[in-house]
Amino acid sequence: MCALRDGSNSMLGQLLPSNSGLNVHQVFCNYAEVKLLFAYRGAMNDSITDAILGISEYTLDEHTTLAHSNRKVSFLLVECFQNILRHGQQEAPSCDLIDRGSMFSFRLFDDAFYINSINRIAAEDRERLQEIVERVNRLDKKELKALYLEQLQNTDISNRGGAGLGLIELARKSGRPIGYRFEEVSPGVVYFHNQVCFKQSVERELDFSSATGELQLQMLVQNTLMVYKGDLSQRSILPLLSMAEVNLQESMTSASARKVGHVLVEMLQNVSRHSNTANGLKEGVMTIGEQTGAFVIQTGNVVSQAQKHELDQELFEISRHEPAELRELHRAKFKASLQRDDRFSSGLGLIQIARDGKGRIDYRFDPMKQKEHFFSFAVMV
Amino acid sequence: MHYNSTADTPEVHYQDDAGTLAIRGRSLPEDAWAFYGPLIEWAKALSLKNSERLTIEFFLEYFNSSSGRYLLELLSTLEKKGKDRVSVVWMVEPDDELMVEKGEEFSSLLEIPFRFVTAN
Repeated sequence: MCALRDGSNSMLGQLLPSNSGLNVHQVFCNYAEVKLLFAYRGAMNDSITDAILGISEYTLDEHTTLAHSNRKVSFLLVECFQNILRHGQQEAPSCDLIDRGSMFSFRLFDDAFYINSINRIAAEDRERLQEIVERVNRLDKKELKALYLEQLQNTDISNRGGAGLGLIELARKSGRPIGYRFEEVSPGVVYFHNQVCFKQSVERELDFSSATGELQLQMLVQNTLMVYKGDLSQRSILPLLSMAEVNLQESMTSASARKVGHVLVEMLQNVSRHSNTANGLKEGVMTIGEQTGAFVIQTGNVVSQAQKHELDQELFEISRHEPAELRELHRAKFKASLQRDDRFSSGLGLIQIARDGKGRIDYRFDPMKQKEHFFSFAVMV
Repeated sequence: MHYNSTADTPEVHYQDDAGTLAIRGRSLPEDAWAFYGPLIEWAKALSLKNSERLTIEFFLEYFNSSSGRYLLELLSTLEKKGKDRVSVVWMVEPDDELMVEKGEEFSSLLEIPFRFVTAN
């Protein structure tokens, strides 16, 4: 279905990386079988826990075999994420290719939900952590429960607020051993790669540990903070916005953060309006990254030949205008929107995005099967 | 009239005695007509008696392009009640230049007075 190629009809800003880099088309093709992918290496703090749950919730609700396990999966997500908060060494997202910082990701693949974390820990904590994981992985359900109760009464709580209880609970709730490996990075720093899988059937799970490491590296090279592939209907857009807001507010004034938020909402709703619905979900891809002190938002989705034609015409028209002229163009269209009959589209979305991004936009269409195209759109704010 | 805010729609509060219509929060509904249609119908039916005036107070965090279109229609409907009897207070967070620009665009398309206020 996907044919990745370099070279494009991209215009204006050259914001969309080639297919040797990380772009939304590449994510769409490389993760074609993944129904939901979320990878995050931005600011790690408690305020995004709710957004993480929101991102997975709707897709799981609509997923026939995992819908009734939504609460269990939510528990695993919170526990894995808070493990990073409790035990990881938190630093600003790193640009160092060796010491890469922590990463949190999850994916829904083949009726199984996988949570992969890369947790940057102090080397001195490795031995203790390894002992706990190995012990937990050797125990059966009954023994895990006994260990859990024993640990609850044990006062040996680590100074970061855990006694291995989190790991015991991960094994209990997932019903599977915790996948893990350690990677030595630099003196005093070790990465704890771990995978928790939730699957109804007893079949063996796949190991996404290496794939997660590769994705982290790709994200790092382009300073991408967040990658999302999955449903982009309204219910999924709101938690993505919350997630972005937390990151934006860490690195810019709240007014600038809101400006990025405005553009993000418009871009995501643009995908939502133009995506085909399959099994109650509207599929699209989104990435957020930083480039020369600004944020670059990329979105992508499949469009029909007719939609391509319409988008191409509109974006070509926009690209003919200087950034300063976009304001007047928007004003004229805004006034004309009062006469539009189309209840769901104001016809203002793209021009508003271009205006708010001061004209720093980029787009391209990649052909797909059955006269469909993948529409990639990037804006710098 | 009062609508509580939701995750993607703003709070709307009309006070007849004070002559104010306040719209606050974020406005990002997918189907903006479903939210603003009844409000526009209400505005059409509103009658300002004698010397009654109406002040529309906006304090919006975000609004999507579809909401913008219907907010313009709402203001345009209210403008017809009398250009000297309807006014807008456009409140923004400090340094929120984008929201000021958006307010100025509304103002440039209407003939009712706009007052820009920065929240403390």
